[in-house]
Amino acid sequence: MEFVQLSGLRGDGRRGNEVRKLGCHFGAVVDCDGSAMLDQGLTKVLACVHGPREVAQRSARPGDRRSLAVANFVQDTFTQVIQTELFKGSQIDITIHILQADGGVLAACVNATTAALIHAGVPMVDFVTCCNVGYLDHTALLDLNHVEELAGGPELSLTLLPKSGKVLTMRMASSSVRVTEKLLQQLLDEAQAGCQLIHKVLDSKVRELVAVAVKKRHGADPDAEIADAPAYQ
Amino acid sequence: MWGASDGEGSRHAYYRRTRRGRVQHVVRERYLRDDVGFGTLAGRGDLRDEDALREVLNDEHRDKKTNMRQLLVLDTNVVLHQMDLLEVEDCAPLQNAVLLETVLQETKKNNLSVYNRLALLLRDDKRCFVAFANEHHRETWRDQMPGETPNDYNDRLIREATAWFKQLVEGEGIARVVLVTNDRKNRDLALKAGLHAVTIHAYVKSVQASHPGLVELLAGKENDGASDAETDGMSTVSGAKAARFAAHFSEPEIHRRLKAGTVVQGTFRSSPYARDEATIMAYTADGQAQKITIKGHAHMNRAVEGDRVAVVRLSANEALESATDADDGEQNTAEDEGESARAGLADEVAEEPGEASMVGTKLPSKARQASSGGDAGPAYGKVVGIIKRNWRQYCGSVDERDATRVIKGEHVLVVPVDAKLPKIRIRTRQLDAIKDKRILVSIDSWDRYSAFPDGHFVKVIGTIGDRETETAVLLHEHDIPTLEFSRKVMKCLPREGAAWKVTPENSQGRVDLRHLPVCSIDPPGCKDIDDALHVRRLENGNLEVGVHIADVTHFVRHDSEIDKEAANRGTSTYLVERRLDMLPGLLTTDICSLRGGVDRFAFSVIWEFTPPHDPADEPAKKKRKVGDGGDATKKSKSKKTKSKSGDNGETEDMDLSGPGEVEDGRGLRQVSVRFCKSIIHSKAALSYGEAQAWLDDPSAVGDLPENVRMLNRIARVLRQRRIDAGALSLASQEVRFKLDNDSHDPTDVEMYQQKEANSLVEEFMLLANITVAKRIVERYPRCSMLRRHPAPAKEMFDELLRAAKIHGVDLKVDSSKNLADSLDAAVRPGKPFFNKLFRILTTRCMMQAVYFISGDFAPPEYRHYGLASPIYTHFTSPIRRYADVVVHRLLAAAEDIDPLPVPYESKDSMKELCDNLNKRHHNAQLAGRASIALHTVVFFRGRTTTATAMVSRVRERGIVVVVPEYGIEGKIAFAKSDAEAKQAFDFDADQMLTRHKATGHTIQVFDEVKVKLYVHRSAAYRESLIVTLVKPGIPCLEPGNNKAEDSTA
Repeated sequence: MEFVQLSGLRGDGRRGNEVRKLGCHFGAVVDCDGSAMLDQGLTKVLACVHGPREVAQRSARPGDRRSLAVANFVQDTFTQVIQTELFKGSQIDITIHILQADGGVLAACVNATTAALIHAGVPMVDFVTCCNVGYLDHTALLDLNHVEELAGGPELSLTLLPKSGKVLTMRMASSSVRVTEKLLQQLLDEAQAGCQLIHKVLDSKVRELVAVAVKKRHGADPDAEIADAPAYQ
Repeated sequence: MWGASDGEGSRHAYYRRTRRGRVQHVVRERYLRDDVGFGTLAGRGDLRDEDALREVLNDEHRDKKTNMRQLLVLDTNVVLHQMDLLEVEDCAPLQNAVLLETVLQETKKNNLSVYNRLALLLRDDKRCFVAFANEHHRETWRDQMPGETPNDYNDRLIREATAWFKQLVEGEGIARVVLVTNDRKNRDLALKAGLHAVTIHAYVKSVQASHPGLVELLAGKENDGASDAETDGMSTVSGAKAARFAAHFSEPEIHRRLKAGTVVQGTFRSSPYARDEATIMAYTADGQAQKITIKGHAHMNRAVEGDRVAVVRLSANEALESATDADDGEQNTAEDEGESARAGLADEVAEEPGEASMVGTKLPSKARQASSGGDAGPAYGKVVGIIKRNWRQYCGSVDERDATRVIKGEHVLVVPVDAKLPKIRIRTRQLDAIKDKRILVSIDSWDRYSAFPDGHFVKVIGTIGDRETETAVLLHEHDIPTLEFSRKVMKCLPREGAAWKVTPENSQGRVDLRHLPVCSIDPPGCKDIDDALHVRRLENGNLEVGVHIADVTHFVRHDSEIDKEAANRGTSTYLVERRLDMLPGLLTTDICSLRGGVDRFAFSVIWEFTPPHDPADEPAKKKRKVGDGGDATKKSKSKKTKSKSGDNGETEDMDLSGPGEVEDGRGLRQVSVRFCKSIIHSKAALSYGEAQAWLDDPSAVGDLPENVRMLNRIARVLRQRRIDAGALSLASQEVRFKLDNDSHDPTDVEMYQQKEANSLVEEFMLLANITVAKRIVERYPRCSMLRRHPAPAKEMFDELLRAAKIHGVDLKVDSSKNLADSLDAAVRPGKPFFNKLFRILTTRCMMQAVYFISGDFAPPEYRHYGLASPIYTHFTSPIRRYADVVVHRLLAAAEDIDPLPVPYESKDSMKELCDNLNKRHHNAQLAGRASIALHTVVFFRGRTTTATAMVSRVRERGIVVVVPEYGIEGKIAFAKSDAEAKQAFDFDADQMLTRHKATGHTIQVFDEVKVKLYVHRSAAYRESLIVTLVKPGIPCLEPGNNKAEDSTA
């Protein structure tokens, strides 16, 4: 199969260094403290946050291996960024529903969780964004879709704190090709660039959210006040 | 820059049927962009705006009326059918073209090989072929309308994109945008929409004044767009003419029937001896292979050699009945008497060795069982549909008789060089220019109403009979790359060129072996020396033996351009008068070549042996005729210019378990072995003759002569061990031509002689290959590249065994050891060729040795039958074989010298590589043989000769003889048909004997006969060597007796 066509575009019309269209809808679920419905292309994920709240029973963990792997990855990532020291003796539950899977599910879950946590007002040290990158037809491709993932080439998913540029967690798989050190370096660089792209969009969505919230409270045009403020806190 | 911000997303949903028959709803994203500009020049970047486009368009050709440049938008049907035309180089009217994504995708779906050719054109710097992603462009993308067929939809997309181009490009006055389509409907709609639209035929005609040659390259008729010759409704072409062939099933119909099991599929293989017969190997539901014979042109139903076809079984009656009445057509007019008579000898002629068993797997033997063991007799069938055409470009020449009578205006018939192909009808206006030329033609189509496929002329190769031309033909027919190395490849060579030297910087990590007494032994005048040897006595009394192989992988880095090129070429090809290198000359003959007196990089294998027991104790053990030379799998090595003939390491005879593991009282126990990348300094590059002189003359003193003699002592022990293990020494009819220095025409033929010095080198190469094979498999048991030679199936020997029995020879074929011994015993005093003939015929029964990946077979199947070795690979000739390059890399990785290239870890990619190497290797062998055959014909031109021959087969209608003196096999036909043969001859199949009733002469297998040899040129410009019987005087058929005199005059 040809993943980069003669015209230099991928099958869906993107270039190698472009991520898919990202949409984020906050507050899709009302029965929780914060929620976000996130679309990355045709991948659609719903994340709900309950808490911080009193320690109750441990919530149900997914039963199948793939979901468990996603859950563990999300947990590993967010225990590092949520300022848990502020909430000693309490717990935060994150529930994720994967509604549509068209590649990049892991990345979408992380990004949706970030958005839901922000919506819930849980303090974090920074945004967390996640992006995957593959390597097909001798080209690094950002944000693989399902068809590209099926090719079995190397795929790296990486979470990044966009401000500090710190890498939190990453996961890599390659079923057909061995990844050399040089290629790994390239993939790491590309994935970080992808995380920055996603951050840019997610950041603007959060600013919209805040603007609306401020407007509701003050009834005034809040743009002037928050334009230069950090996205959160 | 973020995709979705430039373009807007849309969804593209469709239903598809999965392989299991379920219906699946598939949704894909589609991003529409506005930064596509005017498309992309592959490898040269995007054309962002009008100026960029204006700059890159070629300016050589302008439209006459408007004086504007032309930008062609090509429709899919033009791309699919007119590739030969589009590929013409430096043709100004065809330099500027837009290939829309719609067209590219459609092309890819329909014909991958055309798509790949197209991709090459898009990457060609000289042309301006723009790839335009019209389906991802905001302005040119349209949604499919309800009820619109995919074809109509694609056509509409093409028109929309053309309109967009016209508006922007023509509006700016950059160029005139012309839609080139042969689909009438599309063209009409385009014209209605105000676009310029022409057929490719009209376009070519409009530029005919300046480019007259283009018309010849046009394929097909002008309006063939939508009309499908298979549909019965069509009437335009046929008129009152009756259909000559049955209609093919449509694609879905074939698939339905395949599933239901009413038809079977297979690859169509024409018989090389009878034009109206073909076979396919079909697999039944239970995995059984079955050979199905297709008789008669009506049943062959327009299938051409190599096509994938659907076949329905017939009963024997049905098959034979129509076979007889179908042949009234023109197909047979071509054959002149003798030709068809000899063609009748179809089954009597020996198959080229290993031809059928090329694959070297279980399949052929299974197939044989199915066909020979089956009680139902041969299976017959007829072609009902074509699954995939396998048409390529064919070499041929215009039928001599057509040269004077041109059929129907401009049509002539071209007779392909390959006898397995039908004649091809082409249109030409330059008959005079091509009638005595070999030309390249393509097949375009073959409709039901025509006895011959329609094709078109591609180019002239050269004058018929000219040695250069015929060589070009045979290279083309065997698909051997003949292009010069590209600039990109040459860039990979060391910058210093021939001045390259070993320096401390470039030789880091290498073991310095320059002090060792290394020397090489090769044929005289050898330039590409890829192996050298040394031996020395160690302080502990043991011997150290080293084999040093040119370190090609130092210069050919994995995945570099030069590496890709070499991987594709696979091997150097040796023809009688020249060599086609796998690597550029600088490496082949200079930097890699281990010449005497210079420092070179090598990959060394160094053993420590206990000394051999004194050879005087076992006098002249080498009774076996090494001089016979050759074996089943050996490359032809009869070349003068072939500086490295296949003799060292190529004769795959071998050693069962490696020295050292055998305690046979001959000493020479292997103490240790090591591998290293090294620097060596060859003290002398010896020729076989020089080395032989030292072996023969014990008085020659000095380090080198003594070393050579010591090597020989070791080699004798190694050889004896191999022979004990059952290594075969076979024979092929190889000859060597003496070429005229200026014209390169052959002036004499001699048989190939092998000296002891040759086999000395060979022994060490075999040892090195086996040692390396063991090492790489130990480290990489799944993905090592090895070479195996399957044991021949018993049935292959049937006929030979019967013939042997008649002459009282008891041939044992149960193991290679017994076979070797019984071959040694098959000697008749006074008949020097008796034994050799046996060896030649045994060679014929062998399978082909093949490269394979260790993970694909169980270790017991690694076995190399001919060498009687449990494991074997190729390590010793990396300059001329790519397999050796791969093995060098594997060994370097196994020894932790270099990392293993990533794809080498994957079995699939190694398998792909392997398949190519096997194919290339086989083709190179066939080309080498074809070259010998060509030179044989050239040699016998104008000299009618008589010679002694031996009868190798006896059949009802004729005999097959071998002429050892010239390495020729010839068929002698006595009768045209079985009935005729029965009248004139008493044939005894059991005794393999035939008696001519009129004269009383008898001929039995292995008889010596006298034959006459001369060259005959048939009407189809095929020159062939004719063999006829002189003694005993049985009249035999000769093609056009009178003509023969002319050509020999």
